[in-house]
Amino acid sequence: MMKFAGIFWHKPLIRSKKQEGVLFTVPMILSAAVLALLVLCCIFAPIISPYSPTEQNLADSLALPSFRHLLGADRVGRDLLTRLFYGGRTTLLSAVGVVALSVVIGVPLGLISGYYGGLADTIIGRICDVVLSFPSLLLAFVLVAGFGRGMFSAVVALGIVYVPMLTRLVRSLTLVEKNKTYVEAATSIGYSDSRIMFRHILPNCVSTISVQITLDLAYAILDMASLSFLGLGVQPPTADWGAMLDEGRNFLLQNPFLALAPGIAIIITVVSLNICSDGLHQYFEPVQRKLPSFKKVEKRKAKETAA
Amino acid sequence: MNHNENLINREHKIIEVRNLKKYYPSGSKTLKALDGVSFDICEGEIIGIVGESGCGKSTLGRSILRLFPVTEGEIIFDGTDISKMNRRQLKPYRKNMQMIFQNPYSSFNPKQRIGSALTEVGKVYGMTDQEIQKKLSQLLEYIRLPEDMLQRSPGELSGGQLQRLAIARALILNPAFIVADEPVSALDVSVQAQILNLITDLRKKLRMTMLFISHEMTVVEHICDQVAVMYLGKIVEMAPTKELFAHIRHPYTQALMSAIPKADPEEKKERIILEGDIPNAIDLPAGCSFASRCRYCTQECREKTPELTMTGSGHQVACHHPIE
Amino acid sequence: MEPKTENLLEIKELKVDLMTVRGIVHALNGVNLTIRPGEIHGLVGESGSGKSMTSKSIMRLHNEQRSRMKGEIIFQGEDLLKASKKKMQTVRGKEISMIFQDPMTSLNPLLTIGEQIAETYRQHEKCTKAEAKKKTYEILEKVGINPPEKRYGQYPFELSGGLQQRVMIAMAIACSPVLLIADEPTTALDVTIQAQILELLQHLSRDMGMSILLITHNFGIVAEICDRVSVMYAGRVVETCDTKTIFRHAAHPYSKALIDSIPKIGMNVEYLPTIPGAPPELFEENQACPYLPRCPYQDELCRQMPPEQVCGKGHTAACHHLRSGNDGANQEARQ
Repeated sequence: MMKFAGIFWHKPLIRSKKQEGVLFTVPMILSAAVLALLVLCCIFAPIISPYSPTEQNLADSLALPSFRHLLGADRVGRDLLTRLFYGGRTTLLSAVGVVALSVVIGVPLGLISGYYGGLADTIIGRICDVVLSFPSLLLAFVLVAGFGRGMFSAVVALGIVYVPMLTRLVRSLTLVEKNKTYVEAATSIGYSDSRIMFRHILPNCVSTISVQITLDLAYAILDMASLSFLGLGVQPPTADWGAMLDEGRNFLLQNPFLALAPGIAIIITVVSLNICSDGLHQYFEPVQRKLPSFKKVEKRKAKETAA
Repeated sequence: MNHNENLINREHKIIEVRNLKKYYPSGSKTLKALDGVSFDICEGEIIGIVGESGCGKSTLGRSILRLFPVTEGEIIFDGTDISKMNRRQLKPYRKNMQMIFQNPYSSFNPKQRIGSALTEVGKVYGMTDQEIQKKLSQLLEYIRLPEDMLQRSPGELSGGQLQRLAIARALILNPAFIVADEPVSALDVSVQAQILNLITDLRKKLRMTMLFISHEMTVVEHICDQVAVMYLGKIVEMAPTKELFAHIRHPYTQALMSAIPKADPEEKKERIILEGDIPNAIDLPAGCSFASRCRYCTQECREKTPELTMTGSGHQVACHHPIE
Repeated sequence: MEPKTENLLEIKELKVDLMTVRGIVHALNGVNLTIRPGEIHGLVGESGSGKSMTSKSIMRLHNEQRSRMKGEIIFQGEDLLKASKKKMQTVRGKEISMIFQDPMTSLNPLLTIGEQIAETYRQHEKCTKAEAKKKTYEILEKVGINPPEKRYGQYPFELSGGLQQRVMIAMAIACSPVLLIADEPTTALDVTIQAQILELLQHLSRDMGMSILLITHNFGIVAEICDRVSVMYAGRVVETCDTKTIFRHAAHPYSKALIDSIPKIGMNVEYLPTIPGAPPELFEENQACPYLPRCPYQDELCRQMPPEQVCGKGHTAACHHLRSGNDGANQEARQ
């Protein structure tokens, strides 16, 4: 009976069919590499950088880039590159927190609302409408006012703001899946609702949800930066890209790097995330994938035979 | 087919359907998907339900399984009326009634390996791993598929293989009753024959009791012991298969039979081509629902609804002017 | 040898390769098919055998970048594979037109059916609005949509499946094409409605002298209305003959087995004859007979692709062993 061992793993298949298109296309590799490098730099910031992110050294105030300070130093003489790495920690971590919170709340809500319909759907739908009808930052302001300033409140506030978008997405995906025969088959076998929702419907939505999550991460980085920029997120002296941008804009003439560096860091991260999300989308949905034309294939073959 | 009379236990009725009705609200009107359907299924018997789209045959199958609430009537499963039970009360009965669907490609979760899908059924009903393994290897032998199929995902299998596996999934729990909703309609001719043979095979080995829904007369004639013809939510004619095809009595059945393209160009026959479309099941006028398309229609047909009546040799027909 | 002019459409050694996500598929592998003027020609086969691929190739509806076509499709003396795009546009709809399985998705839901048919006239015949409307009434009546004045202003969703398919037929025959390709036209319909549509097609073919290429998986439909029939398997036409012959004296083992596996009323057998195995996948170019693994008559010879052989009057089959047990085919072949 050993040969049966494999089938008892309750493992959902999150891979598509054979002859998979390539997940790692050139833009995908580049953007993933950039992201990985960034994350590694942030994680190992204490090892890479000889400076502390908070220790002041007024002698280097507003220093321009040099061998001592690769990107220069800020008003109170803190090394900019060091702060960029430490800031990345805060920014990325809080963005992940925002998205995680929205997934934890939004996905089950979406499943419930799509699967049961009726009253549950109406109530969840109305709540989403209310949350969505506020401009997202304004809602964050209100929540920050309630929770008090700080990274935690900013993350919770944005997390809640991100819930309705995900709920709606999951709801519409669930509505499509719910009408497929395999769900009816599961019902006819007598599976419980929660099993059908989480074991059967959810795995079929994961690909689309993961695409949305990468996009949400990018938005969350921007929104966290905006909140910090407005002074509602991370409080000094903790480094954060948004807060650094805010500080830096006062010294644009003295040392433009103070504002440019965190700005560019944000742009690079967001663009890479977007490229990753696009790549994931093409990977999960073969229809979206671009196929080579016969001319190209023939050319390639001719080259191979010539070589 | 009378090959199988010895498999049927006439004493033991698995399913008794009494005056079953299922209405759907449609705006201010009601759509009568099922309008007073009654019949019995004995242990080991395969009953065929034929009819065109919208005649309520799929609704009938799903109503008996209580996949949704019914409007009126009784569904007696092995002596217990399940027609008014709620989800929790139904749970022990679900195990005993399983379903096979038309489209094999969509009746498995595309993100779940076949093996996992099959074992899940047993696990939910508390079978141990050993029991499941034993059952699975027995069923795989019956459906003649190798065990490495279980490692595959549904997207890697053909329609015929998937339909075999869907049948296996329905049999894991040893159900007393199976509803097969057009199990061969989505398949190619040669695969269809394979699946029909498999069903014949399995009923002999396992004494399956089955409600076989189809729009194809030929398939139903091949596999069923009794056939019911449905039209707009009602059974218009019901009889043992041989009897029905030997003496068609309802004009609708006659038209349906004559409309089937026969795979034989030399068989000359009288073609009856029905005029018009199937009327909408919303707001049917009084009288016989087939009256508008029937060539034997009289004043009586437009005024009085014919009842399904027994006419000897187990032949039931709902018509004021049955064909002799 | 029959004179060439007798054929309306002649497909010679058509090969089509398609680029798909799973690799290059050799969808058609040397299709030979002829359609005579005024005949209803059935094209039967199981899914994936290349029936629809053949019809799409005639209309050249493949994505040009993702497909590669070889061979000839000679329509009224001209090779459609070499024709210009502009020429193809006039051929499509005007000389060859097509109807599909699912009428609902082929009709524009935002235009009334009358407008859609009139549009065809205005595009292909450069009619004025009034003329087009008049012609539309005529054609609606011709395909049995009555009363045309009332139906003209209805939207597709207001009609039943049968009527929608009639509208599709009306659009297809609006410009009196010489060839109508009907791709599973009745598969989505009920049998009683199917009977109506088949009768209509047969009637139109006789009335207008139009040839119909009827693609179907249902041998019943072939028996019902087709004059000649071609059976496809794994991207090839394995047998072509007139309808009566295929049911009585099928020469190719596949056609014979396929017909045998259909349940028939009053057959009274417990088990149906089946074909073991499954059709081949078409990812690799096949040198052997594609039916080889499933064939009861296989031998060494079958490792080479069997050529198309004449085995009777207007009867060809691609098999090395033209069914030794089949007296009909053998007799015909000897003559």
